[in-house]
Amino acid sequence: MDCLKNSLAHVSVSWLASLALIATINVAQAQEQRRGDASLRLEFQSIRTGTFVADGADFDYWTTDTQVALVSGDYAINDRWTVFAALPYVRKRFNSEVPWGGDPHNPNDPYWIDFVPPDTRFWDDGSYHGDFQDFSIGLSYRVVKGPVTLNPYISYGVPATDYPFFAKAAIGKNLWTIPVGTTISYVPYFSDWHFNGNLAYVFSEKPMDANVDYWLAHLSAGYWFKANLTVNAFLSLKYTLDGVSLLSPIFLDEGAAFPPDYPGDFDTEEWWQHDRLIGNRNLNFGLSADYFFSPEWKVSGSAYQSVWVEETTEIDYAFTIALTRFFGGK
Amino acid sequence: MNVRTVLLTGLATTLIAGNAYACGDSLYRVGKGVSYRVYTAPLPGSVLVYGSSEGAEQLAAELARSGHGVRFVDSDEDLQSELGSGAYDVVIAAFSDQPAVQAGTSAANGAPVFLPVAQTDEEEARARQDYERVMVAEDDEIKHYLKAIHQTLKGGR
Repeated sequence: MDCLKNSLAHVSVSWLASLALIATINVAQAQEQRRGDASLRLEFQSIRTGTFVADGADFDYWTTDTQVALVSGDYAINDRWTVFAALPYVRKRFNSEVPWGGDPHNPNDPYWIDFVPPDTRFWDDGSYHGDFQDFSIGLSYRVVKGPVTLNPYISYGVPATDYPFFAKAAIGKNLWTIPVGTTISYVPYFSDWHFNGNLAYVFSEKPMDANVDYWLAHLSAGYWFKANLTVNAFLSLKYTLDGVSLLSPIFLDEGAAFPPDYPGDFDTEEWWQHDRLIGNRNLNFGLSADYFFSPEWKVSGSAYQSVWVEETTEIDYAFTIALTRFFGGK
Repeated sequence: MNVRTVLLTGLATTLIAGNAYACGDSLYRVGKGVSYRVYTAPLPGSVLVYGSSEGAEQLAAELARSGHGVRFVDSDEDLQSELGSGAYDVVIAAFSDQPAVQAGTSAANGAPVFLPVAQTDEEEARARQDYERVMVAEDDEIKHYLKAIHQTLKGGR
């Protein structure tokens, strides 16, 4: 008896911290989703972008700083269905990195002759401009099979405000989207590792009738160092199937010479909407960590940067920090 | 409010298309994110834990949390009584308590498999002569106990 007392003391010490935190749950609760289970998350993001890569050419004369405050939450309708929603507030500024100004996008420039922009807001003045971006709401369905959990989902994102999209400091594309995807989570039995995948096809509003649908993917692998602390590595991908290059001739006036005169030959509606039409593709890599202070509160952080881009700007660095509050259902 | 951790299967996050850049793009992830670590027993069994320490009691609680049916006893009398019921698949106790466990299981129908916990290297060596699976106090965590129980159950005891 004394022997077990001593030997299990090791177990006791090893698990004391986590036991204190998870003392209020049982396995049935942990495995099941119940009506009323909910979470509310407040996240801040800080992102610096640098070089724009288009068809192998680098444009490296401006940067942008983006700050995002993202409020999101979810609510379990029952043991299978969950509704979720998110609303980001985004502020962003354009920074010239060259003496000649870095090519700010100004809809009031005199070269706009053949096509005159209907929205003359100028956001590339070097100051922060912000607004609520795209409100998203969606529904997911939960399927559990052993250590694997699948959550197919569909959501709808719609611009919450009529923010401008012709600017390097634009906060978005001002297009509605419908992501349809699924998550898959795998937590091996008796393991401290966990793996998560997420793949979505995003149906997008068609600017100028162009198909700019794209794929989103997120893969992560994490390790629980303690029951309430995990560190994760992740890859995130956006891949636009179609879309055009920034160097495409569709942005030019008809009959423009080659090489074209910039910006004189670019007073077209296509150029006005070029940020919506370009086929962005990027792959980011990052690290993240999640720490539970209690069963109700979790703090999360991540850092990531681009490892590959096409027709988009590289993320020089991005940091996020988030606080999540959990609510238990009945 | 009944606050609880609901996140074992809450790894799910949802990708939404937040286009935070002009001439670029980003995405936001919405959802619970990574959960608490909670081990689960894919084959729930009946486990008897014998000991008098807080650690033994917590081990029993952890095994129960993972999905096993667990009974914790801290006296020899209760041990003998429970073993005599024949209701258990596995009994966990210190290797030094082997005589008491054997006394209780010899007369029982459907005797449970003894999963001894060795305190020292010498104990471990001796235990391995008699038992296929031996837990080592200084090395093994709850997941190792769960794995050993699972292997026992999977092997038809």
